[in-house]
Amino acid sequence: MSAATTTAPQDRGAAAARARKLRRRAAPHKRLIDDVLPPEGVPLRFEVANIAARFGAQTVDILLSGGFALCLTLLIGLSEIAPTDALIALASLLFFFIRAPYYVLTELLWNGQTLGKRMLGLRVLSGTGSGLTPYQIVARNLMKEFEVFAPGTYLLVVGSSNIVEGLIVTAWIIGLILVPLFNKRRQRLGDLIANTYVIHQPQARLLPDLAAEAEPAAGGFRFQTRHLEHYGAYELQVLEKVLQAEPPATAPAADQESWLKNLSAIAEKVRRKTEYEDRVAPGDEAPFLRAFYTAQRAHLESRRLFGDARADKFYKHDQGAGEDGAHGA
Amino acid sequence: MSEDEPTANGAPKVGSRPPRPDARTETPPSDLPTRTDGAAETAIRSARFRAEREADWRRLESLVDRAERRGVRTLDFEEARQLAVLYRQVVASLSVAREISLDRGLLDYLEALSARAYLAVYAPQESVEGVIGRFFARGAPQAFRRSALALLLALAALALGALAAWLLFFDDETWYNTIMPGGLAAGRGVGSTREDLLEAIYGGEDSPAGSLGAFAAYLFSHNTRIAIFAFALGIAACAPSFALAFYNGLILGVFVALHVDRGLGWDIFAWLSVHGVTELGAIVVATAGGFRLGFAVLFPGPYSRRAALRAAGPDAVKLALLAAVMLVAAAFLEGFARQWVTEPETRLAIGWGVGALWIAWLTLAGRGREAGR
Repeated sequence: MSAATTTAPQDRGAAAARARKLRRRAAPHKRLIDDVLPPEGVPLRFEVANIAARFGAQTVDILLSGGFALCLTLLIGLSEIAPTDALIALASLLFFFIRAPYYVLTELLWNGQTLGKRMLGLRVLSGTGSGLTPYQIVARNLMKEFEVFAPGTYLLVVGSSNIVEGLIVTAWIIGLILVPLFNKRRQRLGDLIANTYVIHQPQARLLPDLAAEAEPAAGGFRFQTRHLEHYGAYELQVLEKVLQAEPPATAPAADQESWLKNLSAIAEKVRRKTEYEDRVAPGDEAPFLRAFYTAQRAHLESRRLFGDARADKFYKHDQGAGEDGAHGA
Repeated sequence: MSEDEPTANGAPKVGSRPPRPDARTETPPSDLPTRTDGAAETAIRSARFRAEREADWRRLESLVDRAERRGVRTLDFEEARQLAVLYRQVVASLSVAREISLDRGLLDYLEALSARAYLAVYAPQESVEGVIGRFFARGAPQAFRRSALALLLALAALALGALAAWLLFFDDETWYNTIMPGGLAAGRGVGSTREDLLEAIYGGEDSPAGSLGAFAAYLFSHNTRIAIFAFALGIAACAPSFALAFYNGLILGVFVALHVDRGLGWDIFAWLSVHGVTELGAIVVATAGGFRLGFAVLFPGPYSRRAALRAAGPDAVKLALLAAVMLVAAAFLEGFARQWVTEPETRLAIGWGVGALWIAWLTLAGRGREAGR
């Protein structure tokens, strides 16, 4: 595509699309979000657990259940109840009969959390939209035995003497451990069969409402519709984030200062972009931005009620040469 | 639209209107805390929306907190009821907020709160005793009866293996060495005399007991492994499960044939019966579980393979659990009954008596009641 022949709005549309792409790429880290539809009919959003956290939780669980089984085996071995040559078979059995109930019972009693998952803030979620059933919990944990533990035990006991068998079993384990990387919900084979997946426990913290706080006409800042036509929801929410990040009064002076400096830069930029005529006195930036935030949010929300949702400051190109922006980049 | 109409401090025109009666989509029961309607008249719509409902959200948050930390069971009746009601309200609020609000902080909070409340409300409500009791009372027997074809097929694989080994052994004794894995034979081979074998079967506390004990432990772990893999590999179109059951039949057949050849048929039958009825039964059940999964892959019928697998899953898992229970029972029989009881008749009575109990439980229990999952 030659830039010389394209008209100005189209060119700006392409630039907007490029800017959006860059912004998306610059997002701090990609989170996997998945929706579940509960019987209430409103899709709920959950963040799929990442592999590292799950690995950590699994390690904690294995150490706990394995440590217990090991102690029991040592006790039996020392008390010489069983012949020593049967001890290995006994140990692998003990491991199984402690581990399998451990996972099933903890997940059943604590709503999809083992001790390890509790520590790392993870939870098992049913993909069906209603609660976890005992069958789902049993199925996903039973499959874990076939995927990892049974071949793993076999590898420890037998594999060392037979290289070919050891390699096959290792390949089996690695292959099944990699399965979660190839689907969107990071499901193991057992998760796929039971229709479950592991999520991060959602954390809720209600921040104060900026729009409710600002007293009417506190600093006497008034905005007209033409001031509010320049930004979209994205810019509004960036401003919200900055304003919410106000350091508490007890914070060190350096933090306060850098926050205020940041604000005055933003206030200057907003004032120039919106062509706001009145001066903003030094030290008045925070009230100005709060008032602007409230006015802008009210404007955007009412526009949205009329079917004019403005995602970001490029909304005009979406309305005008929208197709160009979408396909040009 | 008048372009330059001043919207002082963000108060849109609707702000001066009295709240519409239909503004709330969800009506709270009268005994819930009433909403703080003192929101400033000038506040914008989404801020009013939030101010009206915030107290309820906070209340829900504290309930969910407790449910998460100490379980839903610690809530009393009234609180549990409120949890359910407030959950539905917050989900409705979320749905509205997604449409009308651009307050990121509020949206994130509602998303997280609804998700947490959903997890608390839809937590598994069953007690452990209830789950276990239901499994034994009807889950396992019903799954067993629904899997008759798979069970027959698994039994046939085992029997075919035994028959083949039997015929091979009487054709040429050296087949024993080919079929029997070294560890499992525990010193009993083609070279063993009748006396060696007799000693292994009826040996008391002396030296053979040690090797027999080791053999018992090995056999148990061997059969456990066979059962696990027969179940797990069934998903690969049944073939590996069939092969494993057949192979286990071969071992059994050749082992029995060796003893019959030495004139110990009756004794080995009794020796094996004590735990073998239960243990081989467990292998058949586990193989049948694998077959159920394999059938779903091979013959999904009108469903997709994934849906067919999901449908076959509950029964297959129950059969696997049943096999695990039977293996534990077999381990006890093997560890105690076989070492203490040495008369062939008693051994037979115990082995087949227990077998009859299994059959009676699995064919008679859980009839006439609603199928439980």
